[in-house]
Amino acid sequence: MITQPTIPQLLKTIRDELGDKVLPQVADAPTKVSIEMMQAVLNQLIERSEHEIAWMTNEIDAIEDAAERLAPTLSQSDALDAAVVDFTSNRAESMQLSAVTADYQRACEVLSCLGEAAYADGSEAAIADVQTLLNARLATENAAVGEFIAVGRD
Amino acid sequence: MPPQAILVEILNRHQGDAVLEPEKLPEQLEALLSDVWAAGSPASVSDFVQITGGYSRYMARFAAATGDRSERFILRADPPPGQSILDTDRQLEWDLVRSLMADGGVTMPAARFYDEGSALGAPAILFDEIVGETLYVRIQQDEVTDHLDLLEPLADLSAAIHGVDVATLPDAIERPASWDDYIDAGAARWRTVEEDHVESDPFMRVIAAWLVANKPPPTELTLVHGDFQAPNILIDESTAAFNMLDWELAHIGDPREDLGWWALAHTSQPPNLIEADQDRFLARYRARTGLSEEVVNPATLAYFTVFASLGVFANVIGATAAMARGQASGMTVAYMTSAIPSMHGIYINAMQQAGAWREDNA
Repeated sequence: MITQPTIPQLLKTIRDELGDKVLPQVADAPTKVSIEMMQAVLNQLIERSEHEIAWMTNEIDAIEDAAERLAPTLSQSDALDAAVVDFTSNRAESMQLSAVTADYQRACEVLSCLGEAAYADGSEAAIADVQTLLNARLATENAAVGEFIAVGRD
Repeated sequence: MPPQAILVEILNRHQGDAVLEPEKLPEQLEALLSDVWAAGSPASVSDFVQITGGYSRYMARFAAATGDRSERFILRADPPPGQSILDTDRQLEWDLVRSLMADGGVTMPAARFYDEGSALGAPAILFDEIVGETLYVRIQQDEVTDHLDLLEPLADLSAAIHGVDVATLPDAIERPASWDDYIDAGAARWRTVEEDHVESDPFMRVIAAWLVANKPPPTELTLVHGDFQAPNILIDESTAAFNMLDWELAHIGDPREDLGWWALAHTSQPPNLIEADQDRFLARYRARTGLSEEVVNPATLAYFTVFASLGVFANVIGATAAMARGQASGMTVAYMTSAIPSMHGIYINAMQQAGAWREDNA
């Protein structure tokens, strides 16, 4: 099993080669834009390859904790209850990326149902808790992709 | 279904459909223009250059000549399948811009010819080329505060769009039954689009609930451009007129959608000219449209920043879903995965801004 250089290191090498050696040789404007887009996607992959599984498992835990606290306080929670059952009964033990991603998707459905139930109830406390979870998720997403600036616009 | 609701249908094109082949375009354009522009005489095409900058349509500029006559055109065509972040109807766009040209209230490049795909391989519109620069290019020169005098023509342009008599628009453009129906349907679509997506997106579900719980005061439904942003406004070099481009997402809706969408679009394309002096812009816009401050204010704009973005957001995630399913490719689609977190962030900020403004002005 080869682990060194790491996946992020290899991706950085590709990104830098594109920027330092390929891009300066390109005169065609659409191709330049395409290379700039490749660099942006590579930046995202560098971060995701390093952190993605940890990010997902941490968020799964936070959502599970919030659901346990909030579900008993919300009156319109049938969909939430069903989502929690689906999540807990199908949870995988594997750290395989596809298994963690499947768990994460079921946890995200729990979060969606939490948000809907919170607004349906008009519960400011529950809405604030959901907002906290979304803010944390947003921070993770921003860490993955950085600031998005549209390339090639004129 | 409004035009912006037409989700990416990259996958649904039939085998054998005509497809744009850019390398063949100059020759194809010569044949087309010979027929529709040169009255059967030979037409030549030169100086054919693809225009970068748009993520949806294939765009190019070129010169055409026949005999001693020459003109410059802009080609706006559907790109090869899998290469666009949204799929909209060129025929409808053609019908709309022709009706707007007849109305005369909004300045725009003249739409001259339409090809349904038989000549150019894909549906396409030919526009007159207007010499000038986009508002986006203009406001990047010097500080944005040096361009505040452009706020009035910008407000006038948006007011002109929203002042178009909707009765003059093509029948194919959907007329919502009422403002409430329109807003409720828009909020519900956040949920249905999320259900069809390739992965769960809690932001969309929470937004759907928030839009219902925080409806602003209603207003008359009008023509909405749907992609109102500085790169889509061309300033004519000779007249200084603001010309509105790219009508593919136009529909009848709430006029505040365009102002809300502007804020979102300019987060990823700074600077934001309106934000540089929002009070000045809104004062002019309200004066031109007659809308009150209760209807047009920072909170309602924040609401419509969220509401208005589903058309484009749905297409973006639709394209990325198609890629995830192995049914689409293209660097632009892959690149747009990086835009999704940015849009999530804008929604969260807008929801918080709307709440804060309402609390401050209660």
